[in-house]
Amino acid sequence: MESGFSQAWVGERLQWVLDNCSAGVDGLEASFLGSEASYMRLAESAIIQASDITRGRVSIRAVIGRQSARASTTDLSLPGLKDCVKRAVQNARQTPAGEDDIALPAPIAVAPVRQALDLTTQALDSVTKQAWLEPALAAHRADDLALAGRFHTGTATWAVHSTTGVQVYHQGSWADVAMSALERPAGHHASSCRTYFDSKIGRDQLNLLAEEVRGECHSAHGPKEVAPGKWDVVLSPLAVADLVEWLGMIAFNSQPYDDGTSFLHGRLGEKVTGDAISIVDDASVPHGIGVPLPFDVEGMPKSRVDLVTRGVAQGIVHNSRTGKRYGCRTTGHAQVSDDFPVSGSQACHLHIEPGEGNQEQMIQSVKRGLYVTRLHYVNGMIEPRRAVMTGLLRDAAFLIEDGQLKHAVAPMRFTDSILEAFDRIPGSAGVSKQTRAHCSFFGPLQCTVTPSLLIPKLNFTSGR
Amino acid sequence: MDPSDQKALCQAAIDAALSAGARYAEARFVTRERENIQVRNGSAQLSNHQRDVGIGIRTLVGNGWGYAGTNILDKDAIVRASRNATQTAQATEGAAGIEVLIPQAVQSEYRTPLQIDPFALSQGEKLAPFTEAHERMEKLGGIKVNRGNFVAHRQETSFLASNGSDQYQQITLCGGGVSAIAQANGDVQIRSIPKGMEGNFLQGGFEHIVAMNLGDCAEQAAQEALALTQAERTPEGKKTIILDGCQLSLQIHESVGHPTELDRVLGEEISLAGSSFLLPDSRDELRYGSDLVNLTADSTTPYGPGTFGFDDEGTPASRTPIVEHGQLVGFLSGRDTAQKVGCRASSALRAESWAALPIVRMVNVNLEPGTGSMDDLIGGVDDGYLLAANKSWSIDDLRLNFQFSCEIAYEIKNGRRTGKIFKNPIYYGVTPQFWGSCSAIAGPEAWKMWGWLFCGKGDPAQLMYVGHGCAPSRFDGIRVGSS
Repeated sequence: MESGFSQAWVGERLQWVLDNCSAGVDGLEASFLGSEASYMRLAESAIIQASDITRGRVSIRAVIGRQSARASTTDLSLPGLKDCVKRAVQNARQTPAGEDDIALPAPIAVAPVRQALDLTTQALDSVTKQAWLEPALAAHRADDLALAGRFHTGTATWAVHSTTGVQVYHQGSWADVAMSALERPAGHHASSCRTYFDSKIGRDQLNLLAEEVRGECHSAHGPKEVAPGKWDVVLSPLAVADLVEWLGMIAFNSQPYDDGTSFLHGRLGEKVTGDAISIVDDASVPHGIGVPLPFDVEGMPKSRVDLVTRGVAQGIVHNSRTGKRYGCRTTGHAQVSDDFPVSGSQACHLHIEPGEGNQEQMIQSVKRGLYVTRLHYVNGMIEPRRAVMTGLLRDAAFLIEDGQLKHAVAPMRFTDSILEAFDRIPGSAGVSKQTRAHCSFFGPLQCTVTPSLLIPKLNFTSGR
Repeated sequence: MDPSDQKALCQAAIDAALSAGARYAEARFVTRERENIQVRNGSAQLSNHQRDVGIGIRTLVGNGWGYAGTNILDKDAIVRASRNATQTAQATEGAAGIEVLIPQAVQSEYRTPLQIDPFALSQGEKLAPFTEAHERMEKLGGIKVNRGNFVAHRQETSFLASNGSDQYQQITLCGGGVSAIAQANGDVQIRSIPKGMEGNFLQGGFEHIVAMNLGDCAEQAAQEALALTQAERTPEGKKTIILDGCQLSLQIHESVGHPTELDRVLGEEISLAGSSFLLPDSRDELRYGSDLVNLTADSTTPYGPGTFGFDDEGTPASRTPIVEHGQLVGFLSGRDTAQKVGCRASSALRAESWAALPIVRMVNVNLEPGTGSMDDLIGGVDDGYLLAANKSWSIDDLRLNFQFSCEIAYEIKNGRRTGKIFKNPIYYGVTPQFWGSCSAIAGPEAWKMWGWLFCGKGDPAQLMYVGHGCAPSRFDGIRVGSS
């Protein structure tokens, strides 16, 4: 299915806004976010939900001196767009001026990103997806397992025009898949989960995920309780992803930095965690996995930003406004979520840089510990200055004894400072060379890329 | 677009679905408006107005549901979307496990009663209480950052179905709150009033913001944030705790609302947040809490964000007991899930917008009031804490093991507040044991509605506004500590 949001179709609308509605303002920015998605959801080894959603949204930012406001609309008719601009301008005029210089940024050349659009993935519809899923569903039915998960695909279109001359357009495909195999009743016994996130997917990758979870679910049969306490853990890339996404929210975005709640605040140039950990935000997805994005909602190129290098705090991400506030240039991290509007910049493509280790060797190096495939309901708001987080084991987690996986263990809760936990990682051998990409909870325009980690003495505070 | 044009598009969608082979179809034309202003140290950091207009079409082929949504509002695009919905329905046909029943036609209309329409106010009028809050915090001094958050939300739905249903509703929510961030001794502490996170949101208009008296809230927030930077960490131990309404509402949300959603109970919600410790046959069998505990799913409660005329499959609002005298007696459900376990639907199938298919959601899940006042609750505590304002929340995938942290713990000894406060309090529990330890619930005078705007569920995730009415309540023998 070809996208309805072509460059010409989108460009016409954004340019019409600038040509017809920019009188009386110092700057007008019009951005477009289009989503054409085919969603499919699985449970009990059947397809339980399927939907096709087409949504295009224009977002307007009006700037008058040091006053600004934003308005967005999915009414893409010309009167609808005009109303949207009127609202943005009217709200900007009535909003008290701030201290920041909020002039819209001048254009900067945007480099194209790698293989962003896969036509096969873009064209996947419910009929093809059903056919691709059938062998996996049948295999799980035959094993009396409940296969659950999602198989979402789509095309994202992203464009920005502004009165300063910014004019950029990008279109990319994405595939966000999760497969969980569960003994019945689902959720009460053994289970296993794998995820996949990239700009393309084929039938083989889907089958591979399904086979991995089916096998691991059988291995996880009969989880046994182990006592809470300090455990050496090997975290899979999926388990690490939740921790990293929270680090972004509590530390690398500008708002927690401004408020002083970020653990980076007042500590730039200082050691905040272990040498083994380097964290960057890089929307070019340099390891070739994940979904790239070339520019932000201001149309500024997304730069690679070093946030933590070998344990030392380096900085945060910036949009044009926060960049000026801190005396630097935008790093291309202006982001407006219509669902969670936040002021300031947002880290959206966090990577933990790969190390020298591999997951198997990490497991072999553990005398007595846990191999954790996934965490559940991580929350990083407990004490953000120390990055204290809590969360639970979910799906297959295994006891390791003398470097061997023994048996599955029942869910437990950890509560620990993640900075202190990362500080205990035994060098680059405790960070795997191999990484995986994960779609964000906030949608396919954001992702994390993470390795496996070996963390000694993670603090588990309670059992189920 | 006027309502008659909206209905014409809905009818075109339904006709196209029936022609494509659907045996039943519903169309929802939804206009959603949301305004958010975030104020930091007296200046607006964000002023964002969203208008989201589109149509969602749900079609039934055999016993399989399909769904499509679009905001390209010409007839061709809508007919195309309808055909897509009908095609996707074929993929889910094998999953139903029941003969899906076509509901009776309903004609209805609902509008939120409101005194001051927030969308009719100027920015200055909306910002005035936040400016006052800022000024009062500034006057006190010592606060590094003060924040204010304002949200107004309006959702208008025209609902038509092939059974002849023709319904309309317009829901308006309004709310917000203030917070103070203090920094001292290398520590950073936050106090948010009336509630942590986004503030409190209720169905109605700007009168709710006026009633909050944000100036007073700001002073209390600032004083307590400053005091917390000097406070000790909350000592470890098993204590009696009283949860203030703002924290108790989230406790209800996570440990009662979500586990009693029938799609979770049936294993249909695994792919995002998990399932439930409850099974279909837990109803009338499982002890959920002490005899004092009565919980109700109620989409008719005044001011409740989960109040409406009808849910997003057109079922009229209703009141469904969930827990009676500590016994589990009901679930949150839509028509199909209710049919699967043989109970009455609790009109709880809701969708974030036209762009999302409706799923089982909370409405207002309320803890019914007990007797007495906050002072009476405190009078019954030998050694414990009053905990207020949520800071973090986490619960396992069966909704059993939970951990919440709050902004502040007020010490209680020998039936009185000592005046001492502790920082970073955390409490832990397991759902049925926790509710089983409930030893007192304050009475109707202390009962209040609390709204949450961002309840995440579904895959792709949908964010829904829900309500929890409750009065402060006391729980005995709870593990408490600090980070």
